[in-house]
Amino acid sequence: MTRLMSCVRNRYQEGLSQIYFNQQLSFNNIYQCSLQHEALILFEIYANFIDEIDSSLVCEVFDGISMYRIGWCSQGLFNHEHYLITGECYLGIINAAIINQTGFYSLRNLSHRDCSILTISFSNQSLYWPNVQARNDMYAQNFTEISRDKQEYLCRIMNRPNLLLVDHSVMISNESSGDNRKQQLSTNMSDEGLLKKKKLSPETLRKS
Amino acid sequence: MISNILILDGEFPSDERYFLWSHRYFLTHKPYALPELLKSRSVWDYPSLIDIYGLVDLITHNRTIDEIESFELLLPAFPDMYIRSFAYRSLISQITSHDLIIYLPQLLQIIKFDYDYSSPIIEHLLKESIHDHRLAHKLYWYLRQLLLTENIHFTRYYYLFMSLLYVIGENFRIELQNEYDLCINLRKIGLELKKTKSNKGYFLIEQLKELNNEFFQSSKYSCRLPCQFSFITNNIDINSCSIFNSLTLPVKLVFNPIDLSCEKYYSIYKIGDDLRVKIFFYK
Repeated sequence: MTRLMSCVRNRYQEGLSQIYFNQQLSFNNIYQCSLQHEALILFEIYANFIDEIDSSLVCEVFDGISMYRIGWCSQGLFNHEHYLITGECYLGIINAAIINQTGFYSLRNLSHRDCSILTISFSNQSLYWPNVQARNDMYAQNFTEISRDKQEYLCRIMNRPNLLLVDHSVMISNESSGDNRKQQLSTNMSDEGLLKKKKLSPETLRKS
Repeated sequence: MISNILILDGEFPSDERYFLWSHRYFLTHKPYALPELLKSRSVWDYPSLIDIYGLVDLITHNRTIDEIESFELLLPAFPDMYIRSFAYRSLISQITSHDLIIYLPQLLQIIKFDYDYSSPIIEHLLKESIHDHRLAHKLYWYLRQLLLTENIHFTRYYYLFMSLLYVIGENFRIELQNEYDLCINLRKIGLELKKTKSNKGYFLIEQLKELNNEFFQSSKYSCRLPCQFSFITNNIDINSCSIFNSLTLPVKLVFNPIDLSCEKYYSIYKIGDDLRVKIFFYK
């Protein structure tokens, strides 16, 4: 599900290692039809410092210069009416030193008056994400119809320890802690919601 | 446990992914198979969804998705809102209103991973809150705290908070506001207590007397406790209250019940917490 990330991140433009402000950005390897409905675009803002540097900032070297990630912001590509967003967007930049980067949306999180803003202009071409008509011609098949080897292989894959299921089995074995079981179900969630990721500045996302 | 976390975070090798997905019709009856099958999908574009959603529908017709499987489908690994809405609906069909209160902290964290602000669980929580004041009370106080601590998701919680205030009706809204006012008053007392250099015990008694007279209007006015929906109080038992000898100056607060046949409510109040967070019962 997160497969688009590396593609966009690493190959957004041939020969460029970074993007500066006021540049147009096009994703030559990404097609609109291959976008996931929940796709996000995420910008990381890097800067170099002449004076003292906050040691907690993530550092990367671009063109031989050490740059530090000072902020980030993200935006869902489709709006609540399933249209690809168009026009100018104002993304509230979140301080990278304070809050870890996530794949969530900052556009509607401009809650602070002094929040820095990254302005992005998206293409004005309208694109609607159509409703998906799920297939209804599928039929369940009996597990025992496949060979014993395949059954065993599938079981091995499926029965591989899974964090939630392991926790579940441990917790229900202790009948006296029924409520604890319910409280602990999702304590290990990590932020994996990130689908698309990009470095730097205001650019235009243009359909390829 | 660490190895399990690594397995969960890692993806299936491509050969396993292919093998799993190509045998999906044989796994429709297997409990907890759906998250694994969906994890085996690496492409979620429009043409693929026709097939993926078809599989979800097929599994729905063949077996029940329990709350454990539903919760797994609500992890951030599954951002697709069709899948998440399906998981929410399955969860809602499985849990009682009592369970809903127990799961509330998890649900309020899980909604962070929704692409949209609206979802079946949000609608369900709001609908249930209309007639279940115990749930509304819990939801109100969880959201109050999240509004203080959340940064990135502040707006999401703010919308839910405002929606809750809108649906619960004016009387209960006023009641919740009174509970909030009680917390504000206690916080003010706690802060002043820390500042005061005179006799702290005496200062506390005077402040609590004032609270009884002004907030509770000499027992004419009653209020639920934020930490205990079923406990209604109309004054504080000042003689039983005291200050603990600690840097943060926790205060032992004892609330009298409005129904005198009930037991008093013993608690510790510490600055920086609302009453819901750090309440200890004395036995």
